Amino acid sequence: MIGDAWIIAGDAYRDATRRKGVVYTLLALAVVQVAAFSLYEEISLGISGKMVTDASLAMVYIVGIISALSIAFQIPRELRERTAMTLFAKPMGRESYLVGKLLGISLLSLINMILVAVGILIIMKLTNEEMVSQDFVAGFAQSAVLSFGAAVVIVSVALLLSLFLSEGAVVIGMVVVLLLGNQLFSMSHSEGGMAGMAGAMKFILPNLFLLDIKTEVGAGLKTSMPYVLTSLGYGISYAVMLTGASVLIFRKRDL
Amino acid sequence: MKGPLPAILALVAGIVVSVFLQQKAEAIRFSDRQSDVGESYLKRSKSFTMGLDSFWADFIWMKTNLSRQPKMDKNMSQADREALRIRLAKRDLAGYHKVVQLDPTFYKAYNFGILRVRTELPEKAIDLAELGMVYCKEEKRALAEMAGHIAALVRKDYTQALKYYGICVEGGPEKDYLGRQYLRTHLRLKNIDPYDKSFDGMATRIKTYHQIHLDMVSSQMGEMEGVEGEDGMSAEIHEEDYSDSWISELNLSRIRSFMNRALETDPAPSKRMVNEIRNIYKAYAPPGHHCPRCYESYDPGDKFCTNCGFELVPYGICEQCDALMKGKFCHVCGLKGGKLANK
Repeated sequence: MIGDAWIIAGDAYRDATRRKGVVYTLLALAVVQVAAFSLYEEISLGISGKMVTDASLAMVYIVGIISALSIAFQIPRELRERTAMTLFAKPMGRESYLVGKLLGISLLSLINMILVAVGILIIMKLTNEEMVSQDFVAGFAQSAVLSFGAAVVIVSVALLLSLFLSEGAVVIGMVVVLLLGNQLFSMSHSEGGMAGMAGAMKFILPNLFLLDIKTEVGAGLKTSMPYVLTSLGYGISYAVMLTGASVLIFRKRDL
Repeated sequence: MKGPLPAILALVAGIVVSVFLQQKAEAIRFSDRQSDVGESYLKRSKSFTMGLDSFWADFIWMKTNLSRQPKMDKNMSQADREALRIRLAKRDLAGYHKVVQLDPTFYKAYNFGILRVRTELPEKAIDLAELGMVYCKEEKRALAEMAGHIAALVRKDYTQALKYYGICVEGGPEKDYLGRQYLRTHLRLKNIDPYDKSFDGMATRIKTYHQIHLDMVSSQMGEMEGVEGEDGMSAEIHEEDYSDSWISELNLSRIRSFMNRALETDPAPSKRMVNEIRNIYKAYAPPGHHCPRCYESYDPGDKFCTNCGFELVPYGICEQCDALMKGKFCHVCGLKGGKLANK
């Protein structure tokens, strides 16, 4: 099964990189970011360092999420056009198909995020060497790792939604999960009547706030390594749980 | 393994592990933030920013700073102008609040927000400073200074100003003027003119500052009561251990000017007042030798005060030949240092 899944993963990765829309969007983001580097000094009113950090971390995160979005354009289309059926005709399980898609798109997110993060750090090193201290790189890397965890979670959510919904609806569903997932933590600790409901929702929807330390890194607050590993573990275990559920549903589905 | 078993296992294991790790991660994050910004940083209400809080905070920060101020119409009445100014201040304040809600450690947003609305909405500016003091620990004194100035200069609320200047001088003021501002606010609360240049005014200030010093020492000693030392025994408390020496240093320079004025004043000021100040001086007397008349310090071998000409008791000279001592023995007559005229 694992071998089959890697074949599907490679195929999903290649298919996603062939999509001009995603590639052009990522390129446009990179160009905007590089162009903005020189503008921050003028428009930031003395906080260019903070703004460059915030924008860079946001860029790594956005690239991861946009890459994750590409799964929404693969599974619904392949199921609708019945191209997936040719795969199932071979001795390949449906679980291999879903796990392969998850691995392929997660790999795409990882590679894109690494490229963007390394590129940004090189530009920062060239333009403002003092800023790129060892502590800064450590915080930046921690945030990027957790952003990858968030991207994996989003891929698994999209995987589940793709079994029922069309491309557009999957994208909308992902945005809703992104909005709510980042709110759950503060809502569950608030004093209002929503706290109880949000507390229960934390065990159903992904608690994406745990995978977001961008604001803290931008503010120069240090995050411990055990936290990063625990949160990343949470993200991956959540993705495993959702993929397990997706496989069980997909097995029963009449195609 | 074939069939649905692997998927069921993944589902069950995923649920168990994710629930466990979620709770564990929350606990670690609270513990991480406890030491720097506090738990309220994590529990703050959030906007729907999809995890891009600080990025949006920067964007709103720029938008608020670059927002256009409409030109005042020449025909506008004074009341309309005032209303417009307040409306614009409220608008900008809302922007800065939005920024710090998204990123509570954004010091510049507090700084700019306070300066922007300090005259139109002084209470709100102070509220913003209070909020900043919770999250920007390193800039707490700077924010307290701004709040203190607004309370003292705009609102004329000296009780509130004293609270903020008190924060600025905790552990000794980093800037001298803040120490003076703290003491002046004390004087204002006691209805004493801090700028009274008269002889009586100077004496009153010295006595009041001395009393403030004593009050601070006794309050700090009260706080230390019951605190155990490293060996588990009750900590021994000494007055000189406290961090309020800056008041005595500041008062010392005032005492010197006072004594110089007393020496110059004709007719001479009341002896009672001078004696009172002399007693205060004794409490502050720094190490070294000082002229008993004007309190100017003097060097070994000096026979007269360089400030007031008073005849001094010299020290650091040989008893036998009056030469300045340079070591254990006199370099002129060889007398052993044990016989030095250290008086």
